[in-house]
Amino acid sequence: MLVVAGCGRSDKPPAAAPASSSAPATSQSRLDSGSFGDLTNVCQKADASGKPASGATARGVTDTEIHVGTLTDKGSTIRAGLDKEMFDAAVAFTTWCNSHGGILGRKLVLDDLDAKLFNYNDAITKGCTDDFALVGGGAVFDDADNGQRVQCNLPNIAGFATSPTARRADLQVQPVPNPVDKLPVGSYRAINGIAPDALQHFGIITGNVATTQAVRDQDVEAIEQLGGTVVYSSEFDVVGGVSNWAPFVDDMKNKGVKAFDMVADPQFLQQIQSAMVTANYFPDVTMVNTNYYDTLYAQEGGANAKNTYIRSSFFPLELSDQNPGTADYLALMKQFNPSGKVAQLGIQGTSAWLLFAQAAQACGSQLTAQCLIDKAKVSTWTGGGLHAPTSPGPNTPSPCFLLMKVDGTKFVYDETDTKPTDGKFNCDPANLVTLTKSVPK
Amino acid sequence: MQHFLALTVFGLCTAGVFAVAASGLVLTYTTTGVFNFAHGAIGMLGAFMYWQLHVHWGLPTWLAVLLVLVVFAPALGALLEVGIMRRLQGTSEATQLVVSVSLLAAALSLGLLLWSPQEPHPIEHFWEGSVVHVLGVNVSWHQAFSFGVAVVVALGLRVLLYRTRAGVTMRAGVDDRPLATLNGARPDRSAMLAWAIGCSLAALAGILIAPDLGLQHLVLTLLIVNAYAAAMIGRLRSLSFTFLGAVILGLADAYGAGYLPSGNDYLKGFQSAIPVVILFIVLLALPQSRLRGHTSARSREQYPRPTYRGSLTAVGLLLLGVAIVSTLVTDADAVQLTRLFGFAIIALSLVPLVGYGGQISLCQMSFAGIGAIVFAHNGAAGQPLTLVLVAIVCGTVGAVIALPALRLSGIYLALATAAFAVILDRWIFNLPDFNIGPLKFGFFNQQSVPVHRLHLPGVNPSSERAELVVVAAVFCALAMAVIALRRSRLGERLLAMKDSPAACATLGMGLRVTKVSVFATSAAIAGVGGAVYAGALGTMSAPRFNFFESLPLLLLAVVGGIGSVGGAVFAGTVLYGIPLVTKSWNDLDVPLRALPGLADVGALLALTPGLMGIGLGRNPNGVVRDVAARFTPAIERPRVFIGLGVVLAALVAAVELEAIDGWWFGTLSFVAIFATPTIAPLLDRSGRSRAAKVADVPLEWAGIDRPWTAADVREIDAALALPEGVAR
Repeated sequence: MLVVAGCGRSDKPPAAAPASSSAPATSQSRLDSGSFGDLTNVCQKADASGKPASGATARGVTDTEIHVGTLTDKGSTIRAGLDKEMFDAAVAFTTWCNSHGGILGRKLVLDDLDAKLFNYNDAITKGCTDDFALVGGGAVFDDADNGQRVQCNLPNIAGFATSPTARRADLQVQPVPNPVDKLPVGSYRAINGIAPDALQHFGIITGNVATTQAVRDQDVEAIEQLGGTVVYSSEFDVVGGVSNWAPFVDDMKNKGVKAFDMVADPQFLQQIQSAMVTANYFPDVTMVNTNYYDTLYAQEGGANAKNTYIRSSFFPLELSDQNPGTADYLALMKQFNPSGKVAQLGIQGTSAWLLFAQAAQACGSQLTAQCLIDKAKVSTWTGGGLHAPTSPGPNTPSPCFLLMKVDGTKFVYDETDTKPTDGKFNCDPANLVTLTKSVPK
Repeated sequence: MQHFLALTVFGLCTAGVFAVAASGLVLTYTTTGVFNFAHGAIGMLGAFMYWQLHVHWGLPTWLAVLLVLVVFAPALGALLEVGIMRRLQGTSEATQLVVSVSLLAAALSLGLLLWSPQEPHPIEHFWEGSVVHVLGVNVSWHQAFSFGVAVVVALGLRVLLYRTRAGVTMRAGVDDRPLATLNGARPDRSAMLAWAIGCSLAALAGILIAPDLGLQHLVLTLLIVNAYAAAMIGRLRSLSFTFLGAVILGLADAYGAGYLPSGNDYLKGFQSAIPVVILFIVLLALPQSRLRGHTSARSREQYPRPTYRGSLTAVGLLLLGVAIVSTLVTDADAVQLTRLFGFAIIALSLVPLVGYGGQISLCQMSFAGIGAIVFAHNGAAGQPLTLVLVAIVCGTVGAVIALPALRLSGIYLALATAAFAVILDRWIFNLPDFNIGPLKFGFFNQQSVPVHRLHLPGVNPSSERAELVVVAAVFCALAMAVIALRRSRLGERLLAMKDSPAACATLGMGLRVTKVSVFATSAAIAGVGGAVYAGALGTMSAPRFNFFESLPLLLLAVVGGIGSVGGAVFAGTVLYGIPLVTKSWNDLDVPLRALPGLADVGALLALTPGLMGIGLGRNPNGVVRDVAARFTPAIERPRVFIGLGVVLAALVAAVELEAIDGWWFGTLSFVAIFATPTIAPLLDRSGRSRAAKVADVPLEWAGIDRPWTAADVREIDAALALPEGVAR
């Protein structure tokens, strides 16, 4: 449900992380040598001088271990297995990392912090008791945050942050930033190229949940800034579901919606698109967020998805043979957690783990919460090549995006409409806008 | 106009599915008298079964549908009837309701276990892609077909019930079971048939709606709440009115989606609440049900009148136990235990209402939610005086809800409270803040609201353990209040009302005042519980207090024994104890975990509440009573009792000295406590004769005020100068 992936980043060159020679050529040899994508020595027994790190410098840190928690909602009953891919990626990453000696000799001990949607505070309490940091996770209802995490000095290298409260929180670095006042709008700009006057007939639907409503408000402001007009906006009951989407579709048809965005879960888009097939009406463009990049959606609803585009700042899994970082994520999962789920949020989580490993190594024997955050605030970050360059330090999203088109039961990279400027991505600086009126209080 | 026509057609399409689902519900109710809350969950299982056969195993559509509707669903229905429902004869309506709620819980967990939501479950419409043109609107063949099926089902059922021998027998069985039996009917058999057909219809509705809703476990299960309204328009009897009800419902749903202004913040949630609003209105418009005569007298359920001495001892021991435990557990576990008691307070609110008064409520969590909101928005942080305000507000709301309930009883009352709960969930709790005159109303605003813990002066507010003791103390105080209520005049009147409302009315007792006051009291307790519970949660959001949370609450309280305070403790313990046990199990590194199925014991344990509820048919008095009865040999022997105390004290000392860890303490004390009743007679034979002298009630009341025990038999033997054991 409503996992809103940020898009990220700022400067240009995909600056490789800790300076090193080029990484080995195949995924297997890279993983075997402790490298990931264009990052080398991600995990190792000791630093360059051969000394392992030591000292109980913070909660959860000992001479031999670092306890790290990954927050998810995977145990929720309403949406069983939500964000499970992030925990699966964490298992794979920590197992792999430990097989190379961990963080300068300290083994990573993974703690499963399952917020189950409504137990966010419990998960944080547990983290505050046992863990040094939160890495590569996220919780949908993180608006429950009451400052406890910051108070107990639990840094967060976040997989994602959803609510305005969490997106603004201190002691946190987002490898793929998602601040409250800046929004990447490249995909909306691309709508003009796909269907000329569609942006002036925009329709948007979201669930009756505060976090997605906030995202909807931001999208609406951005569309208006770009000269678009929202002609249709409505909400639906997320928990109870909608037994008949036809009235929604009929309304959209009557109001002449030509471009459509749904800020929700893939399952709901699937249902409304099925109703669109029946009504024989389809908007010229359906442009949705990265959380729809889910094989479940393509397999179950792809057949009904006409003119549907997904924006992403991640290198597509479908093109993994063209990108070492993505290939390494797949190889990592296959080798170290073969039953785990492979999905976009898993990649996002892996990016957070890589950033964590790099920052924790840099802190060495002075590993404290503050040091971790300071070292993680790098100005350019690609997660070893998993995604377009972002800048976690200034917490600015990337103007880069690419479009994936839904085709049958698959996603296909849409080069024509992406109009790439930088590899597969379109990184026009105008793709980033500053928001004013929809910035949540 | 075109838009109106379009909406009408859409509404009729949805109505078809509602009608099929609702007529199944009506059929089981008219023929067996059980309102099947699990109807939707069975439909969900049917839809998944269809997916399994058709999509996964590749059987042709017609064969898969046939197998589900003619083989699997009827078999399941028959099995449920024989295995569970048949044993419910002579139990109260609350128990019957809880059994079907348990069935819902069990079916849902089973569905989640068998068909993981992680896997894709693509499902197509029949004749995917083909569209029929109706009044200028495109409708899929599938939807048109659904409507046709609904009409056929309605006509078919009508013929079955009124034109066939089997149908007439079914109806006769409900009207007067003994009379029907005397006339050579076999009510068991027709009940089985009704359940088989009912389940088949549920599955049919599931299969028809699944392509539109997607194969979503919870959503499919929930859909049936909408069908309740249709069934109620048919007054759970008339199939034609049920069909009409489904049409009204479908149309209201479509017009709501089409015409309600989408920009209005106050009406946003109203659309999804339409079916339940209709349900509520229909229930209010129902003619007053006849006062029930003597049903409960035949009931197998009985609860003794609690004594002050016994209750104070139990409450004291509980508090002492909590105080000891609070020093041993981690902060995180202390928080869990605090919630246990918060939840137990909410469960406690059911004891006077359901246990004493025989009024069923499915909206206790909603009262708790209101209590939590009032506590969060008013007064200083965690100020205990705010609880008074909470009690007043919730009590008032409870009294208002009781007004329509005055006319209703049994399942109708349960549905009215369910409708109220769902209206709150879908609409009221999501309203933005507003003012009426000087009063400011604030709700959840669709997000998490921070709640402070209850803060007593002189108690360290940041200590999780202190909070645990405080909340346990609040529970104990309220438990004593409930016991005092049971012993008061109002308590006697409640019991009388439960036994026979008709007799009460005949004797000139005012049922109205009694009903309203018990509803208000219960709501006030639930509100206080909700406030404390939310405080222990730290932040709260509306889904914590929704209708589906009220179901396990009632379920567990009834399983524990709704007529006594112990049932409330049981409810809290199961809900918050199971996760603690699961956690300990998952933390353990034992080879047993490698066995398939035992790795994730949590998934299996999720089935437990449902299974326990289903077992109620066998033992309607609740678990706590059973356990307490088993402890009698220990309680009758002071020496053994003191010995147990010493053993426990030694364990406490050992854990304080860090000789053993908390896990061992838990295991050993558990073993010690539960082994005591078994070994007590071996350790102390003197208990026998002494026990005989213990007479808590005059002998002539034994077996009436409390169950018949072996000691009573011995006492009679002694009085009649017979050798021991003869009177048996």
